[in-house]
Amino acid sequence: MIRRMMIYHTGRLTVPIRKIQQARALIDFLARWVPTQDNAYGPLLKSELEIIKKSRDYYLFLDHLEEHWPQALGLEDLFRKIRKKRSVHQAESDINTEDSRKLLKKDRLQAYTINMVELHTYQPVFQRIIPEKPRLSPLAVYQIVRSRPATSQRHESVPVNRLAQRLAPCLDGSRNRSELSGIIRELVEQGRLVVKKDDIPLTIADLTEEILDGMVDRVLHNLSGSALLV
Amino acid sequence: MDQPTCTTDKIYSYDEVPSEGQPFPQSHPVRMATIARLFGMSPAAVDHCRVLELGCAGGGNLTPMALPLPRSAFE
Repeated sequence: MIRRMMIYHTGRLTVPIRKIQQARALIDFLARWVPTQDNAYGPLLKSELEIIKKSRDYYLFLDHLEEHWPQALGLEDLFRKIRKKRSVHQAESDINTEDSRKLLKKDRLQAYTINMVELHTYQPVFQRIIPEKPRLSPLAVYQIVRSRPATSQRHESVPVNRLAQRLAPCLDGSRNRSELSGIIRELVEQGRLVVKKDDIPLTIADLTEEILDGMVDRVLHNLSGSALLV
Repeated sequence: MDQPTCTTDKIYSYDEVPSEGQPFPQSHPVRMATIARLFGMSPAAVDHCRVLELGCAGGGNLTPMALPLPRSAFE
């Protein structure tokens, strides 16, 4: 429905950037005024709006403002279209969707749609506790060294800071924290990394073990909290 | 039977605004299987499923799904 509203709202515009701007204005308006109390639909709609709001321009344009496929369809609509296309005349699907839906308890669905609880049928593999010798997923290393956001084991896009970018190739499960601190020191010595405190660059003499260990801790904590360590 | 023809004069949206590719958690088979289960369905096990992504561009969404699930098929 959101997609249709955006397409209708931007239909007469021809310049992509204008379409994107107008679609964002509509999303902002809806996100502000959709009622979310005492109903499951409102939070579901709001959560979709939040996802769309965070979309980058190219995704909003290509995946939401285009009038051809892909389209968002209900399963029943999709089945009907497929059957019509293939000229196959048969009864509706054996799946009785109404009965299936009754199995879903209202509060569980609502809690899931507003992200109060996470439900999984499969647990992705990542390290919650930082191991002695931490290791990034190979894909994350590939992305981070190319200055791209990393894709976590939870399939989320995670921005990483410059220090993590520098350390990423070394996070291969062969180095402990002390060795990682040494690498930061080397980077600073080589002029490949600038460490600042209160916006003032620190010299190599200023870099105590405590400072270096703290930097390593913060990087590893962020990476493990983002489900990037495997 | 008519042979398919290829035209070069059409400008596609992807040419005007290139896609950079990124993961979309809501499209992950784990999420879809979870929602299906909530609605009483019996989806395929995520580590033995088949996923077809239409218009996957450079695979920015599909590749991160495929890497940790080597026994599933992603196209």
